[in-house]
Amino acid sequence: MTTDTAALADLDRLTAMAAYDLFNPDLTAELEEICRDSAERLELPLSAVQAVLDTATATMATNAGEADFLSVIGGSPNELSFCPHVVVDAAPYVCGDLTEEDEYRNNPAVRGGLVRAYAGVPLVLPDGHILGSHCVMTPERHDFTDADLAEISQAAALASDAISRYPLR
Amino acid sequence: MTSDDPYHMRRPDLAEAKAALEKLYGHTAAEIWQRLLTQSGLTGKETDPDAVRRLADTMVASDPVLALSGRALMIRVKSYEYLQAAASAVADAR
Repeated sequence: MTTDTAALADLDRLTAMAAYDLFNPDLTAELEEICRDSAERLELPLSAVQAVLDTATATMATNAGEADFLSVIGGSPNELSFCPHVVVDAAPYVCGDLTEEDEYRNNPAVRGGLVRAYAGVPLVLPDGHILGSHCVMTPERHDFTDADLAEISQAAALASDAISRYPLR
Repeated sequence: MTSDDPYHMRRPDLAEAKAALEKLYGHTAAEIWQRLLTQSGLTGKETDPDAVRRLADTMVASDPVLALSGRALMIRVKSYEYLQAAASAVADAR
């Protein structure tokens, strides 16, 4: 099933997101720390906090600072991102081998060997809207465990809390 | 796939930007679109890549919601250019 990215153009959700200073450098630093923790705990090379906007997914922070492919562009179009799946379904999305998924096997990051396994958990704003995803990725096939998902969920809660402390003034 | 259509992603243009605005704002989009064109010094008929960048810059400098949508548009522009360059590099290597 293909993710319905058109559903992401939700004015109420974007208005709720716009109430926060999502790209404040101090918030970025907090989120980078959370990403580093997630990457270390799961022993995976890439972790990110991603804001899913109306037509593209914006990278708010990664564990690698500005050295990874997400940070180079600042995000990716929603139809080429895995995180919209998390927002549209309002649930974690876990895939141990994206090359086996019809929706993603031709994705540039998958075809290019940058990402093969993905696990993302919703970032929930205080009003209940879903801002995006805290996720981990690896270029190798990976079997995510329940314990892995619990780690990511805990980190996502920390990230959501951090974001809620940065209202746009 | 061609070098002009890397990974089936079309070059973002003003028509795509307008359609995205209509999806987001519904019946109020026309007024917002005209205001953004005026502020960007555009007519809406431009086809050059720079026109989309100018529009995205205007959106980013607007109210917080439009700023997020403008950031998304800029990510789409940068992604297209990145993928086009990658596709060209692969083609050249063959």
